[in-house]
Amino acid sequence: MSANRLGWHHLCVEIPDEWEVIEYGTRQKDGSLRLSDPGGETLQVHWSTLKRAPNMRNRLQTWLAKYSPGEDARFREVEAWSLCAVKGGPLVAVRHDAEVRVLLTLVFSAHARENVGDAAIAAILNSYTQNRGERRVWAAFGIDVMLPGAWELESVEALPAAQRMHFCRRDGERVSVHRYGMLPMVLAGDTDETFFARLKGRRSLVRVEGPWRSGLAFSYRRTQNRLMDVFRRTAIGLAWLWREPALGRLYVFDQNIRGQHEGAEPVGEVCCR
Amino acid sequence: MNDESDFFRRQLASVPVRNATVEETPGNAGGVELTVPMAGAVWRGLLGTVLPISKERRIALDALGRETLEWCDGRTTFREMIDRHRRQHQLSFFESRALLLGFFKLMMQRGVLLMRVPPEDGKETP
Repeated sequence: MSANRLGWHHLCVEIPDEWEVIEYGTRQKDGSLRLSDPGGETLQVHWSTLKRAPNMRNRLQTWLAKYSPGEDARFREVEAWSLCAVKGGPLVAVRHDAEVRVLLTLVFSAHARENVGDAAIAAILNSYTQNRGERRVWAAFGIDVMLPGAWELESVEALPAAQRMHFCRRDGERVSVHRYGMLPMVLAGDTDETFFARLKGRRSLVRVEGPWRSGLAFSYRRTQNRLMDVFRRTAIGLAWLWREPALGRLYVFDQNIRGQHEGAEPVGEVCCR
Repeated sequence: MNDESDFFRRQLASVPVRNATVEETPGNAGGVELTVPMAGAVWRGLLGTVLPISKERRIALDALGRETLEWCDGRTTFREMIDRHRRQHQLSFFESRALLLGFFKLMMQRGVLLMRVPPEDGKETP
């Protein structure tokens, strides 16, 4: 079973290759993710911020009473995880991160248990790492990027053959990661330069800075209105565009940070998959 | 979650079938032009006596649409089409499924295709 990384608020785990996020929440305080494989839903991830440490057994029993009443269930502890496995049904794993007061609940469906088995689920739980600190991983929808901890997820656009994740910092600066597929259709005859110019829109002045690894580096200046430029902030950014021919994908890393100098490198590290 | 798995299973086992009354003529740039006869609604017949209302609908598909439509031979399942599409365009399962679902939904709304869905578990075909 080959594995992919799932990185989101509060967690980073290795999941089977075929599992993909089909529903997501972007709030850091609380939210959920739903993952599926071609056969159906496999995993739900819920996170919530609590004021005090919860009683894990009570949590699991409440969950059991609500969603699988009267079912035969087995409770156990595996490292920091408290588990409740319903016979022939789902497996629930909860853990509390006392430092940030976050409760994580992972619900593996009966379909997932049947398909990958409890050993693979144990491997997923063992692969868990806290996703905080100086570098954080954001990995879903085929995008896998490691960014400094100050960058928060702002929004996600997950379309077929076009995925974009946007991040912002408290000071208003922004970074975006784009991933495109079906290149003959998406590019529609454009070169990399004209595609990037099309991406930025006609109110942006785009300049090719030169080659960068297997692609190109750009700088751009976005103007809202030529007359009003004098009064408005003009967005100046750097971007990097490259192709992964083996994957048939095109990636763009776009960073809009004030004071960044020419020749700067991307603040994040993109892992192409 | 079990109901959802059954829904997924039935969706993937569905077979898109082409409307035999649809006429196909070659279009631009490898595409195809489809002519779909319109159902004979009463108001259409009445209005048609006084107004020049067309009795058919024309739909132009690009080369990609034509190719996907050609896969609909009445035997190939939705799952097989997804696999073929994802291999051809190096996409993930969910990307191909979303693209094909959108295309088939539109074609079904326009009367070009219909979907033969297998019966639910333990139920007979109506």
